[in-house]
Amino acid sequence: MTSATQLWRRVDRNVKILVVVAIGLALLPLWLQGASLEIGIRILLFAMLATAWNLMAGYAGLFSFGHAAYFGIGAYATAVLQVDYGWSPWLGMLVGMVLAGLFAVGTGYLSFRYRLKGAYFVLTTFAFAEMLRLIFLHWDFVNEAIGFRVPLNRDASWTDMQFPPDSPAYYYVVLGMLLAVLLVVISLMRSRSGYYIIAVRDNEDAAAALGVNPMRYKLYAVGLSGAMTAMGGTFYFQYIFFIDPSLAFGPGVSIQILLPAIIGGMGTMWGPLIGAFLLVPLGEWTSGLVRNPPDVLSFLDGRAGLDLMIFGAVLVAIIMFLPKGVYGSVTHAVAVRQQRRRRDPVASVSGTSDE
Amino acid sequence: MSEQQAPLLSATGVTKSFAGLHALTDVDVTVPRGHITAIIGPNGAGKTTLFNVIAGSMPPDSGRVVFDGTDITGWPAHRVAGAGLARTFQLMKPFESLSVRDNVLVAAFQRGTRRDDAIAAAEEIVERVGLGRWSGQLAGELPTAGRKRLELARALALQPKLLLLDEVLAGLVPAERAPVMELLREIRAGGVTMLLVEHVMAAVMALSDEIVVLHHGMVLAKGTPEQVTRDERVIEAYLGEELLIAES
Repeated sequence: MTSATQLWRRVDRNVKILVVVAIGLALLPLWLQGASLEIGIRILLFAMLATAWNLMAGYAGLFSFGHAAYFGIGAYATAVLQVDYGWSPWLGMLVGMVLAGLFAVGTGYLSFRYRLKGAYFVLTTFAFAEMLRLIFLHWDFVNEAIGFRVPLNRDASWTDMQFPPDSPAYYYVVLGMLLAVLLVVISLMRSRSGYYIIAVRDNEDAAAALGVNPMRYKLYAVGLSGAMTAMGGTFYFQYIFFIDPSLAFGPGVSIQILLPAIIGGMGTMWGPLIGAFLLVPLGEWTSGLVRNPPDVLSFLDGRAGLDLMIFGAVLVAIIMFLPKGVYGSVTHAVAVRQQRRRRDPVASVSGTSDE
Repeated sequence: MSEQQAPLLSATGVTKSFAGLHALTDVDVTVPRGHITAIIGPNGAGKTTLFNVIAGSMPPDSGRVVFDGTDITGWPAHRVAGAGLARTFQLMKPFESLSVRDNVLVAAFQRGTRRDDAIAAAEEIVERVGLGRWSGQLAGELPTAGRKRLELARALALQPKLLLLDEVLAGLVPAERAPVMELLREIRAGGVTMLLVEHVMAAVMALSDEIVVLHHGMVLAKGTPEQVTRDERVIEAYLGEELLIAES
């Protein structure tokens, strides 16, 4: 008993939170059915994708506007192998992760090699995703604009990643993926490589002067982020039974992946998860508001697009008032308060502070 | 035995120009083991450029840099650091979102030790440079003097054979210099060779075994502090003015 509690005490704080989160999320389907279970699944899917994105954009400081590329590669690798070759989607998922990781490392290498920074880097990530969308749109090997459908299987089981509609199994598959991604990011950021990734983000020259190869650790973050994003692509294809070039590679996919992380807090461990828990229900609520408005808002009835405007306005408000994101702002406020309490009333390191 | 007597660092015939402007012309600098060598010279003399060439931040147009028997000319910065040559930056470059301790930890991890050992080593060095009280604070919040010490702490955590210090004393008031100089003496006593760029002449005179004077990207003079301060050309080009300032 005592050794177990001792072990628990040594565990990283984020791992402890993860255990609690895992238990909480695993129990949730007891109360969720039908439409609300679907919302739960979408929350977890986008939490997972945003957590993967956050590794590259938040921790490594490499803002990506093209994560659809990795997502789409995951979806299509699964689709081609499953539909044309009869492979299990789990194997397709692994192949997709490897391919997306390689694509991320390859395109990342080109961008870093030619020292693309800031807006230019962002545009490059966007361009690579669009490039894939256009290639897939005109490539007969992947059925051009038609895309793929998951072959329906009456005796489907876990090996097929296919379940009866309304089965909570989909929820548990995506929960498993989310927990795996969180565990990978937590362990990485606690390790030596995690410190190097942040050091390179904060100051590349200083990191290199301490023996850290900036290229290697940028590619590490980018490759891992790409591979984990591909996992989401696999799940998406299995869950909605359908994929085409714009569902896989469209700019909307990239935006949906990055929004939860930005709203929750970039470069924080739990920001993307919290962001997904806010954004997905918010989207549901605004579209429901337009579809079945209460009496006071009856003028909203049937005005398509209005829901997106409300959604956008809420986003703008969050970004204006909480620029570090919801979770990021909270942790920042706590850190500032602790800092103040700790700060000695006695002089600082020096009297001079010319900066 | 001859290995021991060979200089730890020798840069020979180093030339570097930027868009036709000669920053360094045929510069020779050798740093004997266990010594403190200082590079002095007016602003724009090429001191920091020489540092950048030695530390791998930029390749020279011609010339060779040999460190500890290995030709490191044109090596990227991270490889040079891995070979045992650590540098600080004149314009401090802290990892602002990491704590003071974790800044040093990034360097301490280079020893390939376990996480707990690396943390212990980082904490020990943070104490040693006098930043213990700020250990948990974000590096971005340190004032100038603290940042200078942090630069030094990170470089030390690499356990380098050679330490390149770019103006670690500049920007400090005299009262802050003494403890840093004391620290540098301790570091040398620990067997670390040093090459420093420094403007504070009093410190240069007190610390260095040998001085190299750069002027317009060329070596104007070399020798012991006594030899250099008596050199007519040096006084004319640089020291006259500096000594006056130092004495006032």
